[in-house]
Amino acid sequence: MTLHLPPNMEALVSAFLRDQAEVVAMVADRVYTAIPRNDAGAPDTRWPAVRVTQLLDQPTGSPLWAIAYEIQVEAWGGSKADAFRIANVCRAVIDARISGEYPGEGIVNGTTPGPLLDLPDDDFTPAKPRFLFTSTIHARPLATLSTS
Amino acid sequence: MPPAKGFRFEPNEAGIFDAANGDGVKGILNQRATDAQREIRKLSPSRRAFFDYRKNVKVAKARRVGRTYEAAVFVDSPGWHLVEYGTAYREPTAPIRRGMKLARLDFRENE
Repeated sequence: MTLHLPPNMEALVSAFLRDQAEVVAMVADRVYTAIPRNDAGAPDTRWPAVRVTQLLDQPTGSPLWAIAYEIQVEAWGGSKADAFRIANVCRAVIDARISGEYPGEGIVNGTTPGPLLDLPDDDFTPAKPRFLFTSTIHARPLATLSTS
Repeated sequence: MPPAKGFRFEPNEAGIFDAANGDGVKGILNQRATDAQREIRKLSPSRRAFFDYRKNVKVAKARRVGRTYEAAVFVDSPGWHLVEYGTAYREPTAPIRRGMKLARLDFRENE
């Protein structure tokens, strides 16, 4: 019997973004799946920064072969213009380049980009500029596990 | 199986037969909205006092809009965006978007 193991899309997308020259030029390696925190629980990072969150993985059915992932990508500025540019570039590179095979993870078949939303982060005073979007990423497993 | 009382099909502008009128349609819409409400509540913040989120996941029963009916589910809490999209201090848990998907409803932002 073979088990199909769908990819960890949150990790795959964050690694993918850290590997894109246009993204690195704007945020260096600050593409997170969880924002680092200090002992007081406050964000402990330089800005601008990007966070990738997997909201949902929706299998089309059994066998566990085709999965639609909802991935939210947030970009904090700098300035509002910086936040927009970073989010805009992240959405574009995901749309144009993420499809393909990821050894040890899975195969990305395609994406459906979502709208770019201007949602300043109210937890800062004044609110920190932030743009975000949610993309649907269609993928299938590459890793399989054979059992007796 | 006969359709529910008051339930009938009629062709839309494209000539496709579609549910349009009757208590049956309202019942379906109300049921789908209630399904979404249940899923959103399951995913809502565990702390009950969080901006009164859980008790403010509400359903607006089906009502006539033009030639058809519309029902709605909405979150009438001022803190909805904090959990929906997150902040640098808080991970997004997206109860509305995930709840709608889990209720098998199409949901698109900005529409």
